[in-house]
Amino acid sequence: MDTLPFTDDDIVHLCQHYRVLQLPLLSHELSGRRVVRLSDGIIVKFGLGVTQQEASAQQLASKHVDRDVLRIPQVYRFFERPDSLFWKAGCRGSDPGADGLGATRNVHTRRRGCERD
Amino acid sequence: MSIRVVAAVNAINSISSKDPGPVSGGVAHHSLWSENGSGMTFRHVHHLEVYLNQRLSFFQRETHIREEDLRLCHMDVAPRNFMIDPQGRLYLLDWATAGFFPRYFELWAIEFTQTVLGKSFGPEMIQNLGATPEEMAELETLTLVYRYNSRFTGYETNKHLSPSPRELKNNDDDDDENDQKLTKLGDIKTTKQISLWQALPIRAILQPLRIPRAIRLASYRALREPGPWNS
Repeated sequence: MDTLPFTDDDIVHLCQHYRVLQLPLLSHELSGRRVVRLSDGIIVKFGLGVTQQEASAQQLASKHVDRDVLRIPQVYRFFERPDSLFWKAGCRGSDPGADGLGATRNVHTRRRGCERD
Repeated sequence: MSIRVVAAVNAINSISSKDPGPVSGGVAHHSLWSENGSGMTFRHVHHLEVYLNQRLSFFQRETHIREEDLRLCHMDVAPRNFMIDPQGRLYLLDWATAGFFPRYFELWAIEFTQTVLGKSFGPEMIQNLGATPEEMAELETLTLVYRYNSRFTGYETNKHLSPSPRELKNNDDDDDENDQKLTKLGDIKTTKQISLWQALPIRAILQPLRIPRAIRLASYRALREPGPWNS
């Protein structure tokens, strides 16, 4: 296990409230997969479509590719949270999770409004 | 810069493996595999070959993949995924589509991205990567796979690929062959066909039976207002 100063729950909290906590968003504002800087040298990529496949590919490549030729950010941790708000809202999607550090499902949900007569 | 990018891509492509597809297994994601990903896990190089040949059979084409050709392919080599830090070191990000495939998959992905973006990445990147004539020929077959996947999605893909149980019953001669085919195809998700009635929400079906809004409102109003029946 990595030696990051964050637990999974910490990361989930930081991802959910990055706007309030004023953490710098490195990805595009409207992107489904968001990248947020947690501290110096540690970033988290989270949202639907962040997969285990991506994390393991990046991990393998960063281990085997010569650092003088090309640098690939090291993956510290990957985890999935299927029990976040997004899931409860009944939205389905591809595998959630993250790399870079950890991840949650995207918590920004759109609830279906009740139709009125 | 171009030299450094080419060296970087070559360094990635020098990593090899016997297992095709994404590093941790599972469904591969890229435009090549249609919107929902490859829909199957490539557990053996044979599975990947079957997947490609199923699609290529539509164009009366065929391809062959050798295990030793499998290399790590990033599959999204594009200017937007490269970064340079203040010390001038080169970084490559976004490994969502990466996996072990023959190297011409990487070349195809570069060509595809260039086509989509409508601009070239430096001078003749594919030639600088040292593509062999065989690889250049395979690029065309991958384009056919891409064309197939973009043309036939959802139900139609499965209709073309999986023989129906009735079809299988008719050909008693090559039962074993069909069984094999079925197990091969077993990995591909079959989507259940549903009728129009099942697809419609119940409200839509009942809509024509509803009392028109104007009459409903008028009757409510009539009930509320004093009239000969409640005065």
